[in-house]
Amino acid sequence: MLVDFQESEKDTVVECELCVIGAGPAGITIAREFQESDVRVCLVESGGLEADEKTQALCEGQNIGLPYFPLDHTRLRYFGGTTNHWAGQCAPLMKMDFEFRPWVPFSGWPITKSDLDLYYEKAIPIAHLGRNVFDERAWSFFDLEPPQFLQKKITHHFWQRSKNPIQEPEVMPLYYTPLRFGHIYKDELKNAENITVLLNANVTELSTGHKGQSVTHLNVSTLDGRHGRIKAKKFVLACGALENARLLLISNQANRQGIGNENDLVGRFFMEHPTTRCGILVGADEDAILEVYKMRFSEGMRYRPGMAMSEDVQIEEGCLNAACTFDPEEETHPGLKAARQIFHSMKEMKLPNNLTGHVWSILRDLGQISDYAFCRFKGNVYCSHVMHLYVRMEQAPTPDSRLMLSSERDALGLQRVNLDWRLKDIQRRTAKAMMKCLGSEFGRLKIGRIQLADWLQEDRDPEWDGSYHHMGTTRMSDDPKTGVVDPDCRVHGVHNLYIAGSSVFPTSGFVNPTFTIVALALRLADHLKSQLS
Amino acid sequence: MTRRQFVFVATLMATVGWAKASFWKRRFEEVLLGDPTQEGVTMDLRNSLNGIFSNAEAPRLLGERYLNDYPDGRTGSLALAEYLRQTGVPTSEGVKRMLAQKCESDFYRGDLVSIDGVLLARTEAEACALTILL
Repeated sequence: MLVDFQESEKDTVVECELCVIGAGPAGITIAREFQESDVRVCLVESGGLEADEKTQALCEGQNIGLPYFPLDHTRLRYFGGTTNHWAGQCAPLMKMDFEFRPWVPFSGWPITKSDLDLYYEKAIPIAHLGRNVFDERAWSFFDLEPPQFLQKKITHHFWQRSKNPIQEPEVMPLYYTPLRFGHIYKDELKNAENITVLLNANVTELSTGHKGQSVTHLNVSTLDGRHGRIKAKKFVLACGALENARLLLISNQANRQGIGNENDLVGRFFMEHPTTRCGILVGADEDAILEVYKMRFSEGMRYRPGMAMSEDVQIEEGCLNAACTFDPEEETHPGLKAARQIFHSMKEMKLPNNLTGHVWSILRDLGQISDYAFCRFKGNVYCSHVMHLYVRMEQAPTPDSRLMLSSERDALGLQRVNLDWRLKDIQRRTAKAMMKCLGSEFGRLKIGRIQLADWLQEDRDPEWDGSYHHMGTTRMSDDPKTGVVDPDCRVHGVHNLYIAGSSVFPTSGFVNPTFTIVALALRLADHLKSQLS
Repeated sequence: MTRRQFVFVATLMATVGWAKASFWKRRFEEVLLGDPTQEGVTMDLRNSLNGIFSNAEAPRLLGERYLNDYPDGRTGSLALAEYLRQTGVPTSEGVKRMLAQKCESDFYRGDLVSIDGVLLARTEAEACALTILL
């Protein structure tokens, strides 16, 4: 059932066996796994069923490291969590992503990919994906010949886009809407007798016993000043990598450093997926290339191919896992721009402003215009386009990249966060190795040549972008000295507190995190079932 | 020695001497002035290289940049010229084919150079440099 905590009695106390904090993909997946069981579950969500400015403002924080997006833009704080604005791109991490690599300090998961394979399989219908194929084999779904890269250099990799079974034509009529977890699974959770979804309930503290070895209850508040408590046998934090760490740090009654932070690890190792343009493809048939690498459909599901750096190259070059996609951008020649403006104005049966200026621009740019016209005449689509090579890579884990509590407070009186995002030189080295690999393979296969971006030519750092992916702040490790949670996702030293979501990732691979978040949530749900039965 | 024997021996010695002198003269020319047949190939190689570039200016510019940016570029380019000479394929088509094979091998091995940020096979850059060096 759905309960709005704003309408509850004063000082309400909710009791259950399992309390899951955060109704995003991880929280919803865990709660769904307990449908029709004897376990009473309380799924606590800070927001309501729709976005709300005041609740969203609780996510605000400051960036004090590399330039990054405003923190309240990168996640959403209402039922369904950040899947309310995700692109739906899914793929599993690769085998090597889980392994220790001597050239990547702090790499290695305490579990292997085979420990997750079964859960990836189970996550497919939950994320509404197609077949469980994300590698070269996916080419067989389409009637085309991909470039035959040397496998020891470049391998093909596919993302799938989760499909929303309930399209939202009023929102984006021509767009393939990704799955919104809140939208799709709301009714199931509402109808489940053993599950209570508590909306507009903000957890303000995880209260532990005297020694801090177990969580006794949660303190919750609404923005209009109601307070309450939630008692449970087991608690799962599933609020995303920033809020998970923040809540552990804020909950410092028993231990000044916060929960699970005896070794000063909570909030450290923050990772993103650094992305940037690394060069352009020159001398190539853009249309032919994009025909191969465009987003395409098979059995109604959407697939997008990319080029990934092979394990051999990562080992040889001592670099990170990375992938490259094409990012065509139309060149804005002044003559072409002017011609288009005249064309659009004439379609509306009127003359454009500054007609003389436009005509002059066209006359001065006749060479480009005739090239463009000839290219279009030949039936090509991507004329006058620059083919950027867009690289996304894993971030090398480093304790210096971290979030900390700030002195500023939010509307609930809780300390906000400062994010100090930092990157190591290996990121630049990885981009360089990726371009070298692609450059040699594009040349060998006569696809074209690569012109490196200025920053790579000058051997300086680019302006890295993130991908709205937050990971690593409560990393998983066998050893409490190197991780916050154990391989079962239980906080070291706290017997009834678990963490779900990408904050437990020790390394990130280059793929989008949500599919792995769901797989790990399923694995955690299995563990909790065995504990609660 | 009869007069007939003297004429025979003298003629023989003169013939041998002339042959020997001719041989050494030829070697001398080869060493100091170059092999005239090889010189022919050099001329052909230059023409052949010019024949495979549709635009004469671009390879010159690339070649200049390559020689400027890569200190060992000159040695490598001359070694490429030597390699092409040895193969004895003076036609543009032949040179083009040989260069294409060498470029493919460079790409396979990842032996690339960056000229103004463009990643080229080393052989491509060396071939451009030869348009200046030959």
